[in-house]
Amino acid sequence: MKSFPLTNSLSVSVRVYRALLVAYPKKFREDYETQLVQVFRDSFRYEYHRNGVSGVIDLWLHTFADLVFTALMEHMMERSQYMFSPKVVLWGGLASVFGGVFWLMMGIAPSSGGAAIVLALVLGLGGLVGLYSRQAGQGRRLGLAGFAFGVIGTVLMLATLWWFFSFLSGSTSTELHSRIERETVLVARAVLTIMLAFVTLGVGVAMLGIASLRAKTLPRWRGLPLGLGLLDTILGISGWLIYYVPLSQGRNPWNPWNPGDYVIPFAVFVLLGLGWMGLGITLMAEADVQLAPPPASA
Amino acid sequence: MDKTASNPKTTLTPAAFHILLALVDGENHGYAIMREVAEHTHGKMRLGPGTLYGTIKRMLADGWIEESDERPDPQLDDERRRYYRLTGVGLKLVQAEAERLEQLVNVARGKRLLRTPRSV
Repeated sequence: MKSFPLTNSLSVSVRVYRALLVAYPKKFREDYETQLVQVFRDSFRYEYHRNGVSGVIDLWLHTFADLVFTALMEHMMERSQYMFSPKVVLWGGLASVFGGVFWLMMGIAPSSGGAAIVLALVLGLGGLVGLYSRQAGQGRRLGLAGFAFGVIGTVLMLATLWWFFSFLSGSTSTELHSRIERETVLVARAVLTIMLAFVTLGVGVAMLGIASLRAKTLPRWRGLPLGLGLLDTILGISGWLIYYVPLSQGRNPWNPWNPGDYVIPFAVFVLLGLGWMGLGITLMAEADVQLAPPPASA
Repeated sequence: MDKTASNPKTTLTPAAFHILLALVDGENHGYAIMREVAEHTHGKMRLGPGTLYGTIKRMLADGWIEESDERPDPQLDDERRRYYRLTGVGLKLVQAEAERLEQLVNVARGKRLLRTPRSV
């Protein structure tokens, strides 16, 4: 069955295999290239002597599939290591602090309006990344699901706000009320989506908070992410009751204007601001603190 | 140190379990581990080089195995080969996994999915 000389085919195969190793991350290649090639060479000799051409073809098919799959795995693991680095936690914490500042600005100076809320949300994404990164994979599925919920909620809110602002753009404050009264169904849908996004973000942060508590990844202010998540969720539900319900009945909840319309948003935005700033400060303080090793699985 | 081994959530991948099993008898190098796994499983489990060394890398990092400097026979062996051996944690892990599998086999026997082994 052997119809080709071992030496030539072995040397060509080893050269090709060595060239294919470029698919692995550099660090893995540096650590294991010699061993990988040696195992491949030994396997080639074994298959050649035992099964001839068919064995060699079978070895190549198996080795190639193994290379593609494990190279992908190694790249993913390398990236996840980067994702879980203290630098990401630190930058995420910093983003969260600034996000909190913009929430505060929304409460203190409501005229800062659209730009402030968009910046607060975008920077809040950084906070989510920092919080998830701090868990270093120890938050398991709950942490990952919380992170995904948080990102989905934020992106949904940003998309709806973008639509809402373009819808209202160019209106003066007097026109704004009459426009809302004319288009209550449309505005109600946008408000409903924003509140739903708020709840999704809140549930996500709360799940991340529970994962942090379980994995003990935030020794100080450990209950803060859970509290912040619950606050977001409650705000989403309250917003649904205060704004969506009247809008869905054809009433404008912002008209007639009363002092409560200032007090509630002020309290909400200040609480959110303090919460995100607190989370950011905690993350920055804990970024370099070593976590206890997880029960790993190889 | 033994937390990993005694933690019920610690699960071994099939590749990790077979590699640990191959090292129970003593230290060995990558290709010998690969051959032993293929023989133990009658060729059903074939570790590719990437799977073998990817798993070894993670087990080294987790402290389940360690690299050995000794060579069984330096005259006959390629000095570039790396030898690996089990650590205490690795041994406990492979024992715990073997016991878990034994329990599963007993359940399967109880349901008459398998024949009862003959008494020796």
